[in-house]
Amino acid sequence: MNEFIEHGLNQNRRKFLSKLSLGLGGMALGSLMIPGIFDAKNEEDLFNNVLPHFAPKAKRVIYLFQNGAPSQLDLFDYKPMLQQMHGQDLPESIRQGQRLTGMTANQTKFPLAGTRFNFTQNKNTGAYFSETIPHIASISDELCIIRSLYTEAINHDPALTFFQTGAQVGNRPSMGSWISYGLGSENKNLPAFTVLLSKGKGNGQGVYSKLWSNGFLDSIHQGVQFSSGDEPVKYLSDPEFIDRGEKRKMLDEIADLNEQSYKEIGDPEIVTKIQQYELAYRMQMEVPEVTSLQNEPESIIKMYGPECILPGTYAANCLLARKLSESGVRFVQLYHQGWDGHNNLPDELVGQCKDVDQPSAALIKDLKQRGLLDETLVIWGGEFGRTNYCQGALTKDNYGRDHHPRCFTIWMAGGGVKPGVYGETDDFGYNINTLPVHVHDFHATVMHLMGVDHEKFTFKHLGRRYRLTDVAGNVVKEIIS
Amino acid sequence: MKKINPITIIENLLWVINPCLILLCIFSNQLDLGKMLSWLGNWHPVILHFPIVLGIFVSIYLLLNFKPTISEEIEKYLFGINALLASIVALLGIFISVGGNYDKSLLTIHQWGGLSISLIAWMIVLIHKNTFASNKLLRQLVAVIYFVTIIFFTHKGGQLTHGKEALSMPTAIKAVDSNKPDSLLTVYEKAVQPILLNKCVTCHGGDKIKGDLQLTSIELIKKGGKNKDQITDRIHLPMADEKHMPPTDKKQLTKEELAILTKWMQLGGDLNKALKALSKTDSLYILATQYITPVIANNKEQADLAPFNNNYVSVQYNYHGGDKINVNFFQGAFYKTTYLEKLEEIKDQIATLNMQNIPLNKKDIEIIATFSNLEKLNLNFTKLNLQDILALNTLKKLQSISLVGMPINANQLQVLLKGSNIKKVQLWVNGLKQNDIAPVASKYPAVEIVVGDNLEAAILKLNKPIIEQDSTIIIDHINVPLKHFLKGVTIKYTLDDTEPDSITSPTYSKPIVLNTNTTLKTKVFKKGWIASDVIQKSFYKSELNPDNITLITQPDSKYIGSGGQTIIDHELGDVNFGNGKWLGYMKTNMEFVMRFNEATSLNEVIFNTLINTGSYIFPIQTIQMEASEDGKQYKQIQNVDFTNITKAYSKETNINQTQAFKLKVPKGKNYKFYKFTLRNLKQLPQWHPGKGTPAWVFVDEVFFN
Repeated sequence: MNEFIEHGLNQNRRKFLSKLSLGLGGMALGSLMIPGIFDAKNEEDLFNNVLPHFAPKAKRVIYLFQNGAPSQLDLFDYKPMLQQMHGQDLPESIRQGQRLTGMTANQTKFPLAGTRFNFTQNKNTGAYFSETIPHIASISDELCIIRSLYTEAINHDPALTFFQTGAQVGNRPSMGSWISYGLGSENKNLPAFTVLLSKGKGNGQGVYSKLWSNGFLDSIHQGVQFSSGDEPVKYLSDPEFIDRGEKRKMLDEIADLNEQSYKEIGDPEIVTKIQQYELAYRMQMEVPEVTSLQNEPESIIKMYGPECILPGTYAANCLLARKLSESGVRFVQLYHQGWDGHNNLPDELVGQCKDVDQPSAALIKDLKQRGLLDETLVIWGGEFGRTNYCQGALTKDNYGRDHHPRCFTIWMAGGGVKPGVYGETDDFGYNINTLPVHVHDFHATVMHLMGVDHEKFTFKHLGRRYRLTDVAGNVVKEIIS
Repeated sequence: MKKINPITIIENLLWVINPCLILLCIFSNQLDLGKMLSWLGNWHPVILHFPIVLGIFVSIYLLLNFKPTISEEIEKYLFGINALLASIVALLGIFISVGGNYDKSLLTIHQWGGLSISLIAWMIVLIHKNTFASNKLLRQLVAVIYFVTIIFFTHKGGQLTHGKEALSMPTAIKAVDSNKPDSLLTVYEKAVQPILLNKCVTCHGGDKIKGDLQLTSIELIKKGGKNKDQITDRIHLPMADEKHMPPTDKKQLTKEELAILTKWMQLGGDLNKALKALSKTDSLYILATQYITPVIANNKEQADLAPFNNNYVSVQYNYHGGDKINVNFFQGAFYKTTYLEKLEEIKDQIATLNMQNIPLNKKDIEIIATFSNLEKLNLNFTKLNLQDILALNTLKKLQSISLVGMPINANQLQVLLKGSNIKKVQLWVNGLKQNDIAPVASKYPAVEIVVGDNLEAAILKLNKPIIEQDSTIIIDHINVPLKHFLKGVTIKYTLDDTEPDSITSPTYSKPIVLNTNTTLKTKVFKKGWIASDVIQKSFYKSELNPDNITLITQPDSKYIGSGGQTIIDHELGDVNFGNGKWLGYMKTNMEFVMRFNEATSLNEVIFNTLINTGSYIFPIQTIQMEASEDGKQYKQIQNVDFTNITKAYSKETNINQTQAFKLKVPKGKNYKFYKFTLRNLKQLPQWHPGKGTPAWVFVDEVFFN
């Protein structure tokens, strides 16, 4: 190579490097003006500080989850066509190759099953209610009924997980955890997210604690399960002979130790632990008051039904839900098991409705008469719907129904939703005709009612930002009052 | 010493400033400047004109490619100074942008545009020395790019600050003297202007004019914005519409504000229309007179509410950036009036107040009565009387009040409502009927009075008492506590298999002690309720324990419990057949042998079994009992048929419970070995979904007496 050229290049390289150092100096200068540029900053704090994004319609949520999937065709979505065609095969043009569960995949015929029950219609809203839920029908002027919900999941666990966490695989935070994380607790003496379980006599499906898990959020946002029995919150009461003064001292000492190890290790879970101890300490005072149902006046007991004083029943949980909610718990999640009517659906449904009908309606009426309904969103529904064709043997008044994700009904009340009926299914009750609402849309709408823009409310985990609605979801504005 | 060439200094400065600029642009939203730098930023609009003019000159110079060129030395200076000025202006621009309330998207474009201008100018300096001088095409290309960049992006900056001159408009918007009485005000001054001031002019007037809409004079308001859009065209659009105003992240107009603006525009937007010129019943008059300017902190920063919060009081803004404050009190036992007094500092912002279950007195109410912008108040179960709260009548913004649990008197209620703007009252209390408040309801038809459901009079059935003893096995004796959750009920019970009644049967007061085979029946009574159903439970005495058990037929592999021991371990399974405390048979009969070391006489053998028709678990059909002295030669001593139980079932049957089968043993010899054969149902009946297949038998315990 020509030595002159080489020399010129060297000259350039040297120059370039020396100039580069000037550039780096400039950048260093600039970085002085950007505080914290080299710190790993907790961006989530920024998000937290701007919530709620806008004026919320609802301050609290009570979610009455009907676990196992109640049959929309026997409760809300009245289809006279099915009664006329009772026993005839479901046309393939309607099913369009919809996948089946393992339970009916071997059936050669899919005979349509018309409902056994009579329906009444609310003349104002056009909503239908079967005779099994007279109490819910009696409050129908308050209800926003969505008949066009749909999901992708066809089995209980994924569907339930999808509804609760926005994903079918169970590693995401539950809806209540998101709300707890975003909006915090109103009452510092109670957790922001509580869970109540009850079981009906119908065919049941499990609920697991992953459904109210905090996922990747801080574990203080996990749902706190209140159980029936003498101790509603496990391990909350002090052992005998320990008074509150002692306990306070002990907690202070433990907090000291925990803070020391936090300084050493820096694990954020240690901070959570300190907070949890403190919350538990304050809950010791509040929980017994909130959970005692015996002091409720008799007319309230009669409203929810006599079962409401039996701990662990759905009725008792509804009453408890009202008490927790009015005490400032942001998200009260109920699960009532037993709706999985694969066989003997009509009889099981009657039993389930007997558990659920009166207390659900009573909760709405009770909130209303206390002036709380307009700030509390109540949601009632399952994880998917049930098929219009029969599973197993079909007789005139007995049938079973398999899982059906393509359309199902839920209702909401209070908290800024507009009473009425939204969406419509076809005459077979198999597909959605108008205004479909996906689970993500449902989540987006609930978040919106709580004053949260679901697209802006995220948490960064493993290098990407997550939201309850992941990358989907549209707010259903038409149902917002 | 070598003389320092000014060109070198310029080139080195460019090397410092430009990388610094790139970094600052990337992190511009995190910048935190001191006073000095912020002040320097103010020079941006002053000196920006130099590099624009110079830059345009440079690009024209390069484009026209003058021959002969000016000397290389001068060219160097020209390009260098141009680049330096461009980079300094860009730097100052970043400084001024921090903290300024500018349109975000426009600002971003301008910022990166400014950076590109600076970088292109720098590039011209860098490549000037080498290929640039001789490559005409490259010169012209760069010239064009540079020119377009300057024009386009500096224009964006112009848009950002455009409107400075509006400050001197004669009808510039200015808040009216708040002490002026309503009678002297125009509609515009009273209601329209405050709305515009609060929610519109930060973007449409003053420093910024977005969408070409300027709300500083009536002509400009009427002119509208882009495409002649009037304010009323945009404010009614749904939130989700892109064109909705105010933007979703800004404070929204309330319903009243929407109505005021709309009605005023309908009236022609008359600037001078006096308020008193309107009829008193005119909706605009009513809206305008009731309109109270929201309290806004001048600096737009929300005041920190932390000092007002504690474990028993939650004080929060309605939303981030909102003016309204929601207050909730919890745990009446810890309530102090000082918590409420403290709120007086922010009393004009409190919109909702929830004091449910807090024991209040008149003094508290006096404090609450000063929260003049309160819209919603919850006084449920506050131990007050209606008389105590009449002072709240002065709260003109109050729309909804909850008085649940408060004794209500129709006259006092009228006093409360008189002259107020309350639209909704929640009144539920024991004994209150819709009739009781009928006079108020007819006088105030616009007020929604919620009395709620009152069901004391409804007669419902009590639920069953609870037998709080899980075990049914009496070893020596057993305590059986009974329980019912409803206050004031009477629990009656019998031990002699008769139905309990409300008169003759014993009343439960303390746990019942049982020491022999007993069936306990119990039910509850209460005045005003229908008596509960009877609940019954049988308790078995276990007197004899066999020394050994041998299963002849093995249970199904899913329900093997802990082998033969399962049925003599004095541990009962409950109705959950999968809990490992049951032996389940389906394919075969259940056969087993009991051995006593001493020959033993038996009176009675009891089999505790499970029946769950839904899960194909049916009653035992027959029980055959054989005895032997040596364990080899057996002879039948009893055979009982239970098939009638199953025959009574029908498709309505849905049983899931435990059931005991008793076997009376005829008196006779004593034996060491007893063999039992329990036959299951071999074919489920026609009505059952599993018709034709065999049913299960489940046994968890056998008792010998």
